Amino acid sequence: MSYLGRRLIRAAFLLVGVSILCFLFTEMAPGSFFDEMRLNPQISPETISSLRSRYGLDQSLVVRYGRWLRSALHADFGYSIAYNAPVAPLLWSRAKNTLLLATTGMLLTWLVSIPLGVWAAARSGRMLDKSVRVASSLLVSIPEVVIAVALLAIVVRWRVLPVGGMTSMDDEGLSQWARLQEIASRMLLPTIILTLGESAIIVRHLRASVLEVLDTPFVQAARGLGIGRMRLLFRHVLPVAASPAISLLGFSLAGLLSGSLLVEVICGWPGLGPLILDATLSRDFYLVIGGIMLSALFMVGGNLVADIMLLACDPRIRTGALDAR
Amino acid sequence: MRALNGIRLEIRRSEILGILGESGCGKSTLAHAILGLLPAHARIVAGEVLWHGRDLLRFPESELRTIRGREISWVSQQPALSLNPVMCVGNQVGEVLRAHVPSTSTERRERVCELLREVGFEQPTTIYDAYPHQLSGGQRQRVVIAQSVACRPALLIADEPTSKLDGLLRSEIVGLLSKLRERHGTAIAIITHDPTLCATFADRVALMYAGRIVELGNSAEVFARPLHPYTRALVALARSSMVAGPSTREHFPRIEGESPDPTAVSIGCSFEPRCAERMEVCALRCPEDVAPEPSRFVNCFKYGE
Amino acid sequence: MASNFPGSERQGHPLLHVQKLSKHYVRGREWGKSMAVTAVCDVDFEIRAGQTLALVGASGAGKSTVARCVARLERPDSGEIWLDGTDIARLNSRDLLPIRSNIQMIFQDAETSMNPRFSAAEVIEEPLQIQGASRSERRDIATAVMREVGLPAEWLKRPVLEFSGGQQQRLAIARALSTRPKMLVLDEALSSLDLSTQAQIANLLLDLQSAHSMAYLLISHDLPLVARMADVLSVMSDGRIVEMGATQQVIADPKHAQTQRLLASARAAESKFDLASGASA
Repeated sequence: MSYLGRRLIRAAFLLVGVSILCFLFTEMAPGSFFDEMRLNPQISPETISSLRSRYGLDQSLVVRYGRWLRSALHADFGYSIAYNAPVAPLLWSRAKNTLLLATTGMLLTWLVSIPLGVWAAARSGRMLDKSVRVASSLLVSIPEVVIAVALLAIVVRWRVLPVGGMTSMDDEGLSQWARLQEIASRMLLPTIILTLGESAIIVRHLRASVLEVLDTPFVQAARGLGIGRMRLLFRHVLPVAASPAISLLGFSLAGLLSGSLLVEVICGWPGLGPLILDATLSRDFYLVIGGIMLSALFMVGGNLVADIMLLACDPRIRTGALDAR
Repeated sequence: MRALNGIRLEIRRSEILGILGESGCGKSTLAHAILGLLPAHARIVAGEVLWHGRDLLRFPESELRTIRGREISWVSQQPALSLNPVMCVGNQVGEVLRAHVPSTSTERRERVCELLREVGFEQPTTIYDAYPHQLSGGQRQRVVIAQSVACRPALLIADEPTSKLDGLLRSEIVGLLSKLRERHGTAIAIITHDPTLCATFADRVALMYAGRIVELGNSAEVFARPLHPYTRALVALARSSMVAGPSTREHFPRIEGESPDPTAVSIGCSFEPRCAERMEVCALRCPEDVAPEPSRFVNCFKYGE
Repeated sequence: MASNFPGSERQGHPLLHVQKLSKHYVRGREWGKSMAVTAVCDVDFEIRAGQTLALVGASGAGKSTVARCVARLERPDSGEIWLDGTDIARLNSRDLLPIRSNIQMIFQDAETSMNPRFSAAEVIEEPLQIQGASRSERRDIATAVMREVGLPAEWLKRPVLEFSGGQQQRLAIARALSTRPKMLVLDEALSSLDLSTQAQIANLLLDLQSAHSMAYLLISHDLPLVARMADVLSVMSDGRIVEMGATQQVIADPKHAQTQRLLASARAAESKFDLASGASA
C-alpha cells in the first residue's frame, strides 16, 4: 500500500533527523564522562587523553557521527564507556522489560478507556458521566510523579504488593509459573500508575468524539431504523469516533514510554529508565544517544501502528479520498 | 415554544400522504414524534399516536425499537450524511435486517443484494462493498431507501427525500418510491416544502403552517380548489414557478411577510398576519377545523365555524 | 469572437469575460500515481453589467467549480478570467484583495457561510474593515444595506443564529452588497429555501440588480427559477458548456440532449401538477 510506504520513508527520515539533533545537542551539553577522572590526581592527563582517543571522543563531530552511523547499521549503536560494552545489547536487555511494562500499560489503558469513554458519552450528564469527568480531570491535573509516589507509599505501608525489581532475589529455584506470578505481581503497581495517567486523557478524548458522533444524522438514521443501542454504540459509532483517539495512540505510546521511564525509576523496575538516568548523569555519550534513539523509534513505531489502525478503521484513507482534500 | 398544536392526521394502508409546509412549520417534528425520536428536551404534552390501535407514545424504548425499521421506517433528509462513512453500504443495509430478522450472514448478504437490485443498482455485488464517499448523491439516496424498506415496513416516512437532489435525480427517486408502493403496498408519508412534488406524487395532502394542519384533502382536489388562503397563495406561487410560463425578469408573486416565528404565541389564527383575506375574528381566536366537503377539512373562519 | 456570444448585441464591453477556463482535481492516489479528474474544461462565457447568466446542469457537471474559480476561491489550471479589464485568473491573494470588493459570492447554506456568534453588524462590516473603511463609514453602509435587503436596521446587533433561514440569506446578500460589488456569484443561493422565501429572495435580487446594474452569475439546478432570472442560459455537462443562448430561446427550442433531458424532467413534474391543479383553471 503506497500510503504505508510513504509513512515508512517519512519515518526513516525522521529517525536520521533525530540522530543528527541528538549529536548536536549532546555536543553542546557541558561536561563529559572523563570530568570526574580529571579531578582524581592519581590519573594522569595522558591516560585520560588516551582513553578519549580510544573511544574516539577526540575526533570531530562529523567523523563521530559517521562512525556512529556505521555502527548503527551494524546494530551496535556505539560503545558505552561506563559498561565497556556495545550499546545495543545493553539497551535491548532493558528495553524488553520496558516494552513489557509499556505495552501492558497501553492494552490496559485501552481496555479501560474504550468502554468508559463510550459509556460516559452515551449517558452524558448522568451520574456516571459526571464522576468519570471529575476523576479524569483530577488525574490529568495531578503530575504523574505525585500519583506514583502516593501509590508507592500506600503499597509499601500496607504491604499489599512486592515492590522493586522484576523478581525476588531467590527466584532461581522457582518454577516457570511461580516466576510468572512473581513478575506479574511486581508489575502491577507500575502498570496501574501508567494506566491511570494515560486513560484519563484517552477517556476524555473518546467521550468528546463519541458525543459528537452521536449527534450526527447517520446515528439518528440508524436509530430510526431500529438498530439496537449497544450495537449502535460499538459497531456504528465507535469506529467513527475512534479515529481521533487512534491518532492519539501514536503519541500515547511515546508518552507511555517516557512515563514508564519515570515510573521505573520510582518503582525500581529494571527497564530503560534507571539505565538512561545513570547514563545521563555520568554523561555516557553513546548510551544516552542510544536511549533517545530507542524512544524515538518507539514513537515512530507507535505512530505507524496508529496509521495502520486508522487505515483499518477509515475506508476514506484507504481509497485516498481524504488525501485529496 | 410549541412546535405542534392539535395535529389530527391518519395515514391509510398503502396510500401516499404529502405533508407540505415551510421549514419550521413542525413537519419534521411530527415525523420524529411518530417514531419516538424527539430530542431529550422535547415533551409531548397531549395526544396519542395510534398504530394498529395501540398508542406508540406509551411504548417503552425497547419495544419502539422493534417497530422502527420493521413496521414504520424512515428516510431522513440528508442522504449524504445519513450513511455511516466507515461502513460499507451493503453492511449498512444488512444492519437493519440484522436488527429485526434472525438470519445468518450469508442469508443477509443475499437479501441485501436483492434489495440493492430492487432500488435500481444493476450490479449489487459491487455496490455492496462500496463506501458512501464513493457513491454519488443519487446512489446514496437509493441505499438509504434500500435500508428503509429492507424489512418491508407498512409505513415509510420520508423527510424531504429529494430536496437536496437536482431535477433529474429527483424524478428518479420519486419514481422509485412509487414503484415500491405499487409492489409492496407500503404507505408513504412524504414530508416536503415542494407543492409540485405533493401534487404529482401524493394521494392526499396535509398542509402545515406554524405547527397546525391548516388544510387536508385529496391532493387533486386541494390543488385544483385550494380553500385556505395559505394554500391558495402557495398554489399560485407553485404555478408561477414553471419553466415555460414567465418572461425573464418578471417578479414572483409573493406571500407577504415572514414565516411565523415559532416562539411567538398568538391568540388568533397564526396565518392572520400574512393573510390577504383576514377578518376581524381571525386575530381574536383560533379557527376550528371545518369540513366543507366530506373528504377534506380546512382550518379557517371563511368556511364557517 | 466575443460578438458571437448571445446577448453581446447590447452596447459596451463585457464586465466578466471567461476564456478557456479549465480546472482539474487530484482525486486519490493509486500506487503513487495521482489521478486527475477534469472538473471544468475549456469554458467560455461573458456577462455584461446588469445581466444574468445562469449555469445549469446535473450535479457534478462542474457548475460550482466554475463559480469558485470566477470568485477566485480557487485558482484555475488554465484560462483567463477578465473582470472589468483585469485578468484575475493568475493573481495572488494580495493582488486579489482590491478585486474582491468587485466580486462577491453567495452560498447555498447561509448558515455555514457566516459565523453564527457574530452579530449582523460584524458580519456585514467585516469585508469593509478589510478594505479599510472607517468605523462610522462602516456603520452607515451596514445600516443602508440592511434596509436594502429588507431587514430592520435595529437587528444589526442581533447574533446571526437568531435569524431564520431566509433572513440569514438576506444577511448574506447584505454582506455581499456592502462593498458595492459589480458582480455577484450565486452558487445555489436559493436552492435550500422554501418556495415562498425563495420567491421573496429572487424578487429582492431582481430589484437589487436593476437598482445597481449588477451582473449575476447564477448557479442553479432549478429551471423555473433560472427561466425568470437569467438573460442567458448555459447548460453544463461533464465539465463543458454544451449549450448556451438567450434563456427563453433555449427553453423553447433546446438543441443539446442534456438540455432536453433537464427540461423534460422539469416539465414532467409540472404537467402532472397541471393535471392535478388545472381542473378548475
